[in-house]
Amino acid sequence: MIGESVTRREDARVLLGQTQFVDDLERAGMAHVAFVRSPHARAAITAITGPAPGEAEGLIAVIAAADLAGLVKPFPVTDPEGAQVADEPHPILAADEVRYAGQPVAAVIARSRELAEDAAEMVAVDYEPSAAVVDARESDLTMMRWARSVGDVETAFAQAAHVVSSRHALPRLMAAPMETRGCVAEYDRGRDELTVWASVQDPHRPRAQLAHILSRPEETVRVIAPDVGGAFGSKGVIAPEVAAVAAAAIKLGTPLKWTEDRLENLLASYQGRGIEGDLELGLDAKGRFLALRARLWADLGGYLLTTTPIPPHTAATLICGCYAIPAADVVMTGTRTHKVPTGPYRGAGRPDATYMIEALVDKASRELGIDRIELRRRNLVRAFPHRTPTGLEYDSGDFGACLDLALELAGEDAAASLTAPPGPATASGTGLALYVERAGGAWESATIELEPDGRFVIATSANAHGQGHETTFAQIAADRLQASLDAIVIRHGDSATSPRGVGTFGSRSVAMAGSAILIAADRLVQRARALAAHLLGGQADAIELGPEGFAAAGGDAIAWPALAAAAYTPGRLPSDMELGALHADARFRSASVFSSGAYIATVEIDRATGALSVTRLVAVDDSGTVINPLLVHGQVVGGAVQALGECLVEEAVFDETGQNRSGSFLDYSLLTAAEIPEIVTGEVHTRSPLNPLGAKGAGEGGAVGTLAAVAGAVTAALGGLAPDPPYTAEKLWRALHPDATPQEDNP
Amino acid sequence: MKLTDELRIAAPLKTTWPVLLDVPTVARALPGATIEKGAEQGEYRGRMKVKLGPITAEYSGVARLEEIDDDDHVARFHVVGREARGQGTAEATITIGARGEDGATQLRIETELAVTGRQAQLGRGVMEEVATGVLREFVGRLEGAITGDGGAGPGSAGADDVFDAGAAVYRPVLERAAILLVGVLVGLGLGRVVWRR
Repeated sequence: MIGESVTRREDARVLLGQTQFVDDLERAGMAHVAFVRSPHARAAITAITGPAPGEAEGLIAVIAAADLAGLVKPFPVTDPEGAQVADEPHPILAADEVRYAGQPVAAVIARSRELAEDAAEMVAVDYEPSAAVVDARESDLTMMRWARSVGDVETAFAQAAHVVSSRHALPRLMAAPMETRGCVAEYDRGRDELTVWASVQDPHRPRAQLAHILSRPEETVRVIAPDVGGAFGSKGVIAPEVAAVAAAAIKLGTPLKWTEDRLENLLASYQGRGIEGDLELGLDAKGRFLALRARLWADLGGYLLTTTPIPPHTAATLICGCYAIPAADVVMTGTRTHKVPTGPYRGAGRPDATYMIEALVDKASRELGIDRIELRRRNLVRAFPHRTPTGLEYDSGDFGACLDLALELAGEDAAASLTAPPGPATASGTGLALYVERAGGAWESATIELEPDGRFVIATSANAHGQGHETTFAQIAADRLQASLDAIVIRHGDSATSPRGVGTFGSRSVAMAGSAILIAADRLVQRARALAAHLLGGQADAIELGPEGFAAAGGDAIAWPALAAAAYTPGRLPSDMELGALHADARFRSASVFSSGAYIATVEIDRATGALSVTRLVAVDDSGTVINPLLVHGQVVGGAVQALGECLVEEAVFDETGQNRSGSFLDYSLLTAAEIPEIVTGEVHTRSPLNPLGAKGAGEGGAVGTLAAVAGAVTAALGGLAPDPPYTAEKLWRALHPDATPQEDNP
Repeated sequence: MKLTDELRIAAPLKTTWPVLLDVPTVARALPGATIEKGAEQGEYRGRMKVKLGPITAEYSGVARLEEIDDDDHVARFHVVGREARGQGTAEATITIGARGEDGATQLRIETELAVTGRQAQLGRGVMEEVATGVLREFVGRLEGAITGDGGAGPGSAGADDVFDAGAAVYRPVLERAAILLVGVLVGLGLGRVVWRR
């Protein structure tokens, strides 16, 4: 069962419209919430005047920060290993200042969303605006800093035969999930229990965040994540709006719904990337890497949300890429700007690090005149586990095998076109990138119970929001139980019924939650085998597990439903077995595991217009043991397509006053199927030694490798120029025509 | 966003300068603007309506003459408004420099415009077009107000005055389209010539 391309079991209900998303939920007496948002990027609030109930149709309440005083506190903030994090948490509603355009200032509650929006327009907020900081390097407030220096970096640079330096920046991006953020919050005063249905990646992190914000014990907060229409990292932290809605639901005792519209999502949902840096690489005369120096910057936005410090930390620690670099001096400085906060977005620091180190290696290849494949081969990490100067331990991998397979799939033509001569009408180029990514880590849990009908109900701590857990996890369990997929029921997404866990992000679910399921299933089999041996007579190790249940050597068999019944029949149990013993649970923990891969992209740039087309993409990923190749392929292609959007069109543009100028899909483009090239995928499987499956992660590789490969291809096409993405026609045209004076746009 | 316009008015500086210092006259030249009578401490209250396709933005706010330099003939106006419905704001600092020249007046109008809220966040580029349209209209109306031609343009100062920025925006778009069309036609023509060889 493991390794089979089973089609997704969860698709039918979604495709047939038989599932419910948060906005489909209705509760008796439910009211609706709209938010008053700051139009300014930076301002002091001097007064808030709202209409009173009766002054606006259907209005129930206008709730500002003052109304929630004592009810809420700001977001909890994670401090990653070794990082210093400032005490600048995101407030729930803005009190006396706003730090980004779109920041929620007041919640307006009315009988319908439309009436709430109308009433929200009547709320008058007096602001005293001041000049916004929009450049991370020009900020006067560091909110996150991580620095590490290992090895004698100074001496290494002093003795280096070559020093290559580069500067890169990745713009901010929007996750733009199909389903926007939203929630329904209901408070049961008698039980003192808050239930929040929310479009979130998993239930436990939002529950912990809400419990912190509302100063409530976790068990009085229940978070339910129904089917989720996409998150891509942007729903790992609950929206400040959700916390405001939850607090208002408690205060008013009324069930409340908030579903943001697309404009709110593009304005106020946390963004990804926004990371830049200056890098220096010291090499010896043979092109071996001696030392890396990196000064990295992250544009964190106005406040810290729970996971805002994570992507910069991940980018900084992965900056050595797939290369054995003996010494490194890395500083990541995350600063406050007057923009919406940043947070994880598919890849979350991994594409950033890969883009920067791979561009630097390409530059070294050009400056030293060493073929870029050869230069990479000379410096690849080849022995595992490998400890990087930045403190990571790569558990396993075969970076050379990934490179070899990618070159093979790209074919000789592509390998030759790495040095293709420029064409007359188009400039073409091929780019190559290797990546390594941190996946897994921390812990997850699972419970399994045999049902009377012989099926197995598994509750997992890892919630799916599009990844296909109900299929993949069922395959793992079916494999261990030798059962059919139909006999496996996977439940997730409700903090009241799902075992405690960390969450679904960072390509970690199979390695962590999948391993927990494997262990729980094995424990159940062990107990069931003991019971079967007792009932059939004989030694437990002589009893065979089969598709229906257990069979003894003599031919006597007992099926799962009979075992389930026996487990609750006191007279049939062995004396040392507890009643109802056919259940098990497991918690699995491990250090991070490391996926890797090699990507090759071929591009053509129209010399006349600057338009870029990516004509071919080869994606080779090593995600360890693959449970379901079909789903991994989907993850790779999906990630690659998101990264192609990042290469071609996506950029959250802010003007000098901090206004987000990308407030609609008219202004923030997403790719369509027409721009997607042929994507050829290949797999390398090096098992992780850190979990029983040997699994790593597959969710982000496509997003990590593609950007760097396309960037390399663009640089090859431009003869060594390395502009930063997105590679818009205008940007590439200017690079191709450096002497041209653009016509004045404005009349 | 900074916009600069130059304009020559066929009237001597001593006629035009006092008119330029009259806030209601200058404010009324803003298309779509209505001004209440009488000032409080030099501040005039008013409204301004701008229509862009299906979106109408109505701002209410104040205009004041912030600085006058009678020697160099420079006047700075400050206009700030908040959306009548919604949270967006618009703020403009308009600096008018006047210079007498051969019995006429040469004006240089510099406008610093800052727009927040949805009007700033939607339709990147459209805002610049709208602002340019508004300013072009403003300059035309100002000229009319000074020369007494009453050239206040469409929807001159009345309660229902709405500046249809759509027209102002579509015009340049159409101009560009026309240039493109000519280019295509020329290209086709050339192509045909080459093909005939």
